[in-house]
Amino acid sequence: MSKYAPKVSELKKEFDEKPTILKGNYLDKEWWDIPVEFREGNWCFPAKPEVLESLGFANPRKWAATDQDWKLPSGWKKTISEGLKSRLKKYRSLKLFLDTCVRCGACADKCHFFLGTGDPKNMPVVRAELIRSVYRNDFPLAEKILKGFSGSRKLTTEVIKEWHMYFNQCTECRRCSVFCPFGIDTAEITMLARELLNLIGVNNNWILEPVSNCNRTGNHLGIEPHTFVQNIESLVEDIEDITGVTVKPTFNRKGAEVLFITPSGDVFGDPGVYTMMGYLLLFHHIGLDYTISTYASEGGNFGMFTSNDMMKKLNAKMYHEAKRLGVKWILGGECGHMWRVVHQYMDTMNGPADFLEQPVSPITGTKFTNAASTKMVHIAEFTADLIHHKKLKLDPTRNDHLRTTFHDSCNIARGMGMFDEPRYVLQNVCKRFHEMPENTIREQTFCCGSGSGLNTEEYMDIRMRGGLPRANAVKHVKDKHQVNSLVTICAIDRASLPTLMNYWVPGVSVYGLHELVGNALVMQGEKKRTEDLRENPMAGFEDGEEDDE
Amino acid sequence: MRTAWGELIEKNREKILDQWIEKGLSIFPEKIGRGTPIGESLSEGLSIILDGIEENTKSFVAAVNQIARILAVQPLPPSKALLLFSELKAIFHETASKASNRHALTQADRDAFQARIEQILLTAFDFYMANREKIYQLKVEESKRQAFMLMRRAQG
Repeated sequence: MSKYAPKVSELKKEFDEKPTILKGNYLDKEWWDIPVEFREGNWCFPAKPEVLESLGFANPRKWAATDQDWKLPSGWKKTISEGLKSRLKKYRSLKLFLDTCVRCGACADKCHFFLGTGDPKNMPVVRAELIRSVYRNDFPLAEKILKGFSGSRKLTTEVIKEWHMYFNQCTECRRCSVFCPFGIDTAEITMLARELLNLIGVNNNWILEPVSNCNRTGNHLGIEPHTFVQNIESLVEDIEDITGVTVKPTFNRKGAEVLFITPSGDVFGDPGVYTMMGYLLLFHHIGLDYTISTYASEGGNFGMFTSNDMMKKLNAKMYHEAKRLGVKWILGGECGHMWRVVHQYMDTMNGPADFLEQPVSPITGTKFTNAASTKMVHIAEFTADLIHHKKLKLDPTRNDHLRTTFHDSCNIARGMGMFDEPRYVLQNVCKRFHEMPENTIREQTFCCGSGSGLNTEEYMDIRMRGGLPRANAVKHVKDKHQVNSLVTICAIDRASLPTLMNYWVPGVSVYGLHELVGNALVMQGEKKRTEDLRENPMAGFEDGEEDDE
Repeated sequence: MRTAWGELIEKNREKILDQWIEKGLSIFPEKIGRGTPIGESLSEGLSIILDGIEENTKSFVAAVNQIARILAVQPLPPSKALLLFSELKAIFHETASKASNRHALTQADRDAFQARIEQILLTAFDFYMANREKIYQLKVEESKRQAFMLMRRAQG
């Protein structure tokens, strides 16, 4: 018998003291009768009325999740009901996902939010059941007849509150879907649930304000073109100070071979800007004919967390700009959900991008046949190909001050199946690399806990709990191999993992992959390098010591 | 272990640790299994605390912080969260009452243990508060990082 088997006295204590559906007032009730409790730290602020108005979204008003009355629009039940009906017709995947689940529970303990909170409604199977229970009540006739056996319920305001709570405790990371024998993608269920909630104005400002900004000025922060350019020029000056090399990015240049698009976090945020410096050094090193757009100035696509139509619109902006500038193809920076949108949805939303050419590396001649339809190449693939063909002069000892591990970003790993390219690049630019445990990397990677628009400060407690599985894996390699650097290829990761590390694993810094590439690149005409791109001293390259180049 | 109460803990380590982990996990509002990240971190921390319980060594203090860090982001008031450390008292006294005469503790030993637990509880409270403050500090830092370049420009 397991040594962990609970004793009768312990079971009795648990039964007496814990609020579960098996006892107390819930004895004869269903799992959904446990009320949802919103309190400080477990909900995201709703969208400001002006944000919704600018997008033409439903029900702009001032409200809070802690309010008794959420001021739902009149006829909201009909809106949700018809919204679900039309989406079931439009997306066969949704219907399949709702119909095929056998509640085997294989997904249950794979979710970082379930592992971090222990809340049963955070098991992916139950999360989907939140919507499935309504679907069963409203739709198939047989289920109606078998009502009571089928686990169906009516749509009430309590259901909407429950949806808001739990579909915002899912980061759409898809770790659960890896383990589902039917391949049910709970992330898509969450996406559709959030789309339905947006129809009645139940939403998250941290998602919708960036969407509104992006819709208006082209990037999440709402930065206008001149400021966008000035920021990059400021980084160009930093590069010159550190390396002695003047890189020369161009903006909105028609006829360039390649359009480079990256998340705006790389242009504005710390530590993303160091990754941007890495890109600029790389492009200068290989003499790439590229341009950066001040209109398509955002790779990120928060439309994915809002509605299919908004995702399509924000994605289309990148392709409009590529067409306007007359480039041959698009090179994409280190982003997460941008790549899920491009890899999984772009082709049927806005594609195929026939007006562009199939991407070919101008340096190595490699044809990126995997991007034949989207015409967009991931920078990790592009750089891995350059390294493979020995086109880069690299000195990996310049990253000797870093002992690294690699965090697979959910959307890159599970969303597009890219595991080896970033590792290949990393191991060519840094000598010290240690993998985290097998069940926490590659397709089984744990989410940062802040993806899908939940990276907001008022949500910090839940984020820290949801990010614990990832943090534990980093702690493991820190304790075992003295790892001090977590390398990643997603802007949300670069924004949220420093906070997660600072809380759970102090002493581990977060880096973008191309920041390390930038450190290692031996540039023509450079001055003696003593500092990395963060202006931290590089081990063995301090002033007065011999450079071994 | 150098004290009589420390020796009693050492002799009954496995049993006491097992009970303490079980009690610890029952504090959480939802059921948390031992094999989960919280369960593993908690077990690791409590085991280090129990093994070095007599004095504040570096690893002991780090383990108290490790536990406080987990508790500080749970939906629990500090009075409930920090009960974890008081739970050890009950387990200890139960163990002591079952000990044979040869290992019986004097009242002075019991008082010394009681005083030590209170000391640990206060250390844990310090860490709990420090971690709560850190959460708020992280919110500020994150906002600053997001607008890093804009603030740099604003500051000239």
